[in-house]
Amino acid sequence: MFKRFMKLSLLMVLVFSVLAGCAGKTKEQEENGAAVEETNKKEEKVTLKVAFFQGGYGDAWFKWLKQEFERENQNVTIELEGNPKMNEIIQPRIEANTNVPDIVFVDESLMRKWGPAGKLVDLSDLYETEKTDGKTVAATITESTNTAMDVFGKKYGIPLAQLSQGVIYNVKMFEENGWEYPNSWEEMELLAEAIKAKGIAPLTYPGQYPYYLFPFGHAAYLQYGGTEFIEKITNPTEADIPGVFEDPAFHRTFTLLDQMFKDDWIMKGTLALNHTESQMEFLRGKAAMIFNGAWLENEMKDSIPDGFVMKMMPFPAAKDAIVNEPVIESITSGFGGIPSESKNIEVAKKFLLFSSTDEANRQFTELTGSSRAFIYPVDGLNVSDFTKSAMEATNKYKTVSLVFSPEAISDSPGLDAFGAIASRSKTVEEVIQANVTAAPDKWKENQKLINSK
Amino acid sequence: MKFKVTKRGLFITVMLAWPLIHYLVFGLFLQIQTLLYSFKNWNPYTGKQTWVGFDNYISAFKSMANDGVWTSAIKNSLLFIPINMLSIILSLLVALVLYRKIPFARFYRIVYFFPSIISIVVVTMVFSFALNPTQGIVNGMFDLLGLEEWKRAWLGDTQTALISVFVFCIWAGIGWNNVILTGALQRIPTDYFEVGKLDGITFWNEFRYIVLPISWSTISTLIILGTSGAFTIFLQPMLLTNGGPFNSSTTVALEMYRLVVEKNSYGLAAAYGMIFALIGFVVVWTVKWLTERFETVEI
Repeated sequence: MFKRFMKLSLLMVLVFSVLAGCAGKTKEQEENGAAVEETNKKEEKVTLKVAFFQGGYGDAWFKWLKQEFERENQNVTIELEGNPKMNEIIQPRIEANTNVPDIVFVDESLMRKWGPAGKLVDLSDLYETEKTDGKTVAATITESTNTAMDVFGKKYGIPLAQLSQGVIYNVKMFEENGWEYPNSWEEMELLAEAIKAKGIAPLTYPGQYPYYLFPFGHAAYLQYGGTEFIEKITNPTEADIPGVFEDPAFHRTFTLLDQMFKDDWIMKGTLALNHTESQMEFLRGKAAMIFNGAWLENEMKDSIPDGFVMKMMPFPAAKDAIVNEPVIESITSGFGGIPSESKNIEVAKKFLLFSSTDEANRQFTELTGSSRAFIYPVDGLNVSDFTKSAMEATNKYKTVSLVFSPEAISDSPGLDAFGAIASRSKTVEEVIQANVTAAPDKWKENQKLINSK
Repeated sequence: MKFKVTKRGLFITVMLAWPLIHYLVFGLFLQIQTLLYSFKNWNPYTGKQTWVGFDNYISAFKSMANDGVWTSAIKNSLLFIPINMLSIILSLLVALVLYRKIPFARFYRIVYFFPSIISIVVVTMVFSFALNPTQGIVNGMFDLLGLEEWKRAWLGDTQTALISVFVFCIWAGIGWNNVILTGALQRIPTDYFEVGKLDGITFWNEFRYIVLPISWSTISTLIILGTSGAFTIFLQPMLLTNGGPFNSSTTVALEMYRLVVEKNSYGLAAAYGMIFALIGFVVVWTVKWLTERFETVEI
């Protein structure tokens, strides 16, 4: 009897849980549907759903936007949905048109994927619309940001943040030893020897990830190849393949990198270290400088020793450089866009413009310690000296950012050039040869892929 | 014949439906989808999929022959087969020693099992702290012993990165195998050992004539799992070395993962998946056939 009762109740629980699940969904859907209808009818109460990647920037800025936008637009309620996994979970939702938010703030690679696929609203006009502060988006972004946001001649989003990556040095150590951050590569060579003589490693970086060397490489491409060279690698034509890969600028860049490892500028064991480990070594004073980005301070905030001062600087150029000035990499990261399925496109546009005003940008910097990808005044902002130094470096020096066109096959199609040189696995000549050999096939494959319909 | 709907029948159907649906969706459907993907290209700029015939397979075989990344990945993944075998042998040794009721045997068993219950992220972190080039205990010990020339960046040197990953996998894998093998050993009736002892049997003969034949079914299962597992290893190298330096410790599964996550090349990744599923199938089947050459003694 007891057994039968148990079986029966188990079955009941199962059946009811399934039914309850279904019922719950239908009810929810009904409610949603009703809400949409209602807003359409009255055109006053609007609920704007904003989904955002809640990573290093946290959610404080989005909360501020919600509060201020709701204050100015009494009929609008903003629903925030932040998630550290938003870049992954939003993809099936947008692609299958289910539970689509009105605004997304996610990784910019998704903008390039969704825009041409018709999943995002074309915002090209919005770039010319005046914001509440009287300026337009187009007039307040840098040229490299403008290029970064361009997708086949259209704009599907407004840029979120700007990440500068350069050389960060230990200010106190430099002061104590009477060193100064160099203005030229020749001075850098002298400085490295002086640091080594003190028994300290001149440089370190997260060696497990060769892409931390990219900013150095990209700056060098600009310095030794000029803007035409950058254009050639990011937007090549068939005639450039494979010749561009044996350009003297590649040779010079890779040789400089090779030399750094050969001359023991890089801390011993660096290749074994991940980002936190290498950054820790820098904070412990084992290396005087580190190749890193503007996020370093935030990432290591629990581990920075009292009184530790650091500053971000650009990469200096050698005498033979074509662009003979220091260069820093500045990458546009993240975008805010409106999914085509949104029912509140006009309000969403208003929100995007609102989020790009000088005031909103200044708030972003104050709340996240990072730079918005706009040109805006930073004076009087309550941010750390390090953040200021990173923003100043981006404003003061020449910036570079490689934004590859769909046809392009990266700056190193044959192998991981930076990893190969750093691990001492290949010589500069071998790296260049590998790229020249691999380029024609990669080009053909890529053209076939992007032209497939 | 008529089926009568009974409560019992309904209950059994519902209970069976869950695993069946789960298998159909996450097992069969995904396999078929992967097979279909392998003949398609996914244009990242339009989101459109196109049928491309064997293109993905051709580029996969091309890079398997020429591309340093893939040759290294294939070599390393195949090397994981003997490494997994070594892990089983060591686990068997540990299980045998602990079975002898040495003092603190249970304690050691738990200690060996620890890496299996702790998150792999934490375990790899602990391991890489130990091997840290400047602050790690391993280099510190060499310092203490005056063997300074032995010190190196274990995970950052193309010569030692893969070996370090192997050592990690063996170290972290022993506990799991050990628990399963201990279970097999405990199934052996103690009379066998007692009779053996009366006959003055040696440790080696006891292992050869009693332990191995009786627990062979368990051991052969572990061997087959170890062989097929070699093709799916990717978290360990990803977390310890990120496959580097310069691809020296990468595996096929890690490269497939990268194709999907970093390059959005679903078609190519699917083609590799099919190729390695086929290779894995042949290898595992051969190993299974070999293990069946030895007979298991039923007790």
